[in-house]
Amino acid sequence: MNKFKKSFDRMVRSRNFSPTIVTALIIAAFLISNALIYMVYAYTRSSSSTVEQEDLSISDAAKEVLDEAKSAGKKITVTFCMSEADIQNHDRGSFVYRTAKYFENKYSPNDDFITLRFANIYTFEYDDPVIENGVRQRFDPTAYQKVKRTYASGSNDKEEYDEYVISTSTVIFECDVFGIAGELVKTNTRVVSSLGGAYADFFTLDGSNNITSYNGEEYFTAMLYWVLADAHDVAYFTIGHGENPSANLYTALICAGYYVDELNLRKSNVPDNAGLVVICNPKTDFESSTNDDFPSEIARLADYADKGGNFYVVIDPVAKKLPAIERFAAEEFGISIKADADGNRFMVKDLNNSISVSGFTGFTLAAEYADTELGALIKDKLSEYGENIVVNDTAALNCDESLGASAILQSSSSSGLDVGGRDASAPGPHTLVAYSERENTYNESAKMVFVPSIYLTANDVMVSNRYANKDFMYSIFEVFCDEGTMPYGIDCVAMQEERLEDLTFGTAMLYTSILMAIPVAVAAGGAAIILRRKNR
Amino acid sequence: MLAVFKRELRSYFTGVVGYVFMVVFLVVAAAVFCFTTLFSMSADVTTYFTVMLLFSAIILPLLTMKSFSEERKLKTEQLILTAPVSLTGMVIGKFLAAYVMFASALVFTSLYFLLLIPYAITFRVAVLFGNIIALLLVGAAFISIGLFVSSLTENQLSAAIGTIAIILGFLVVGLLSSLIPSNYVARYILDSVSIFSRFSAFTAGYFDFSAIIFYISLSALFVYLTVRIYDRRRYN
Repeated sequence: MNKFKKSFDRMVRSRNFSPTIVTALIIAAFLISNALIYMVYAYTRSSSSTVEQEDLSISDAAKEVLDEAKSAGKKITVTFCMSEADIQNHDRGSFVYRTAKYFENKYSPNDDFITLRFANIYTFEYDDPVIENGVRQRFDPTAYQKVKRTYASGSNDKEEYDEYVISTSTVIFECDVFGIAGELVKTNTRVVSSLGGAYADFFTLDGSNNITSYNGEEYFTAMLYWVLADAHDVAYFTIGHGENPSANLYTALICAGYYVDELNLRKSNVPDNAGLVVICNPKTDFESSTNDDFPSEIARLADYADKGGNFYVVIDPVAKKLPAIERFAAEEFGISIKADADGNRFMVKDLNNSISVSGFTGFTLAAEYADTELGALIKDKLSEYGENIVVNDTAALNCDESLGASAILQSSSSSGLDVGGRDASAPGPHTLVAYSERENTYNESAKMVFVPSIYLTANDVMVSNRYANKDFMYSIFEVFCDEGTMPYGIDCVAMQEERLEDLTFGTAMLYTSILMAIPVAVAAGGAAIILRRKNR
Repeated sequence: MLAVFKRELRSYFTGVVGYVFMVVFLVVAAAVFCFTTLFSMSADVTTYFTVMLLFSAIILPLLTMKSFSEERKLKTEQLILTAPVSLTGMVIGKFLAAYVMFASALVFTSLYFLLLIPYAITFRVAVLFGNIIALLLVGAAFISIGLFVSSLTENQLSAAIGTIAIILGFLVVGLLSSLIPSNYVARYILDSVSIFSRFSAFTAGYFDFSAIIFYISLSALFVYLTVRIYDRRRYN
């Protein structure tokens, strides 16, 4: 190195090479060499990625149910309407394919409990030939365009069908149920046609149709549960009042095993097969005036309640008041929204425990389970899946215990009430979600869950593996169903991975204070050192 | 070189400059961290390091402005030029002292991201390391530019402004390159000397070896130019 340096210096100081020229040459060499290296890099992209790859896997959440079904001799077939090679290369389908393969390998490595098939909807052929009773089976997509419904309650005399559009991204779940003698008794079928886009049912999409998460394991599990069950309840969404049900609520009901339909109470009563009536964020009130020939909407709901019906009511507390439906909930089930003498609703606010999902406003809270029978039951059930249930812009509720109403979720003891931007109460817990059960004269129970917030099933909380909103919804549906298999505790794969979750405003402020205290400590220490040196 | 390094490092902590640099760096880093992560509910490291890159373009010239210009102003330059230490060793010693100040502040403030791990859906440690290494390299380049400009003038303010001007020049190069279509050779040439274009590869999570070579060679170039300045001054 020294030898090179001496020769370089000698060369620089010789008459033939002035330092200026050498410096210019060095600068030119720097520019040219970097340009060449960059051009080579740009063409070959010889850099290595530091980003880790996400890996799909499935949990043990479905183990008990699927093991039981396998012991009962049931057989499940999952048919993809795309060749195996094509689906492996499909940007969305590859996720669903991998999930299906994981299920097959985990629950059916050496038998035919779960069988995957890949069919062509144009040639009607399977990838691998399917031979049954010596006859080569062909795939008939038209057989799945109409699937007969089987209801858990109400009359099945009138045959009703679900209609589907079969496309290359359709996935068909079938379960063969065998009798004691091993004869095929029936086949339960569920078609996932993903009308919202290729395999859209397995993903959560935002308002711009961008994928926010992959929920394939949960949806796949729910569909397996669906075909393993023999009958299903129907959840009716009321229409005609500007209702705007969230896609997440719709999907949660399907995953909970419900058929989902619309109900126009102006035209018909609540059907006999209704397992649940969902009143989701109506903008206009329900009709309450009635006559003998034409019952009002409220009268029809009351009639359904008398027969032991179930209600899931979502009201937006910041929207227009709905006196008729609120009076129905208060008089029939003892649940009402807290308001002042002028009718202004009390909104629950808790800045210290607010979780910023859309900004630290104090109105986005982590809810706690109430110390009631149902609250404790759900808390115990969900304790292993997640802690916080997040609500936003929620009103406080009154619960009349004499009518069977009680809280399920409540705010923390540091929360308060806000009305019109001013504090309206001392700190204390307030009911955020209420439940009521009352018996009619026939000893049938009518149930209502009342949610004074439209945020419980919002996208950013439903796709979170940290918040328990989704599992909370399943626990509510399980209360209505009495029996039912819910896909609890199954994580989704978040595509928007950079979000922070479960960070309260109080914690963020604490961290900020600590980080700001560090430079203050350094400044104080430095000042002390400098002053001591000066005083020496 | 070691003696010069120790002397320079000690001078940062016996005077006000070192503490002012540390305090300002820590305050700005904490504020940027809180606003880009805690209050944005995001574990994205890219925004923080991009802002810190721009902040470094302003704070590092203030750290290096006195390195040589103060020696000229106080007329202690002759002592340096006649001291039994090589010019290269002297320049590298000053460079390393400034770099240690910057690197220690940067690495310490990067530890703030550990606070996010319990709350992040996915925390990409590799991306964080990539950004730290990229900013360390960029910092080295800025410091070497600052030393060079400081050696040209005895006015500290002129040294700081000159350094910021050169760094902004590199920024303008990056902006100009973005106006040129990607398949033009001129685009590649401008991108190849753009500090900020090279940095963006690291923020995307790619370990760009050509960028590492660029930053190291840029730092070496300006250190060499500083040595040449003093070498010429010695014989004049």
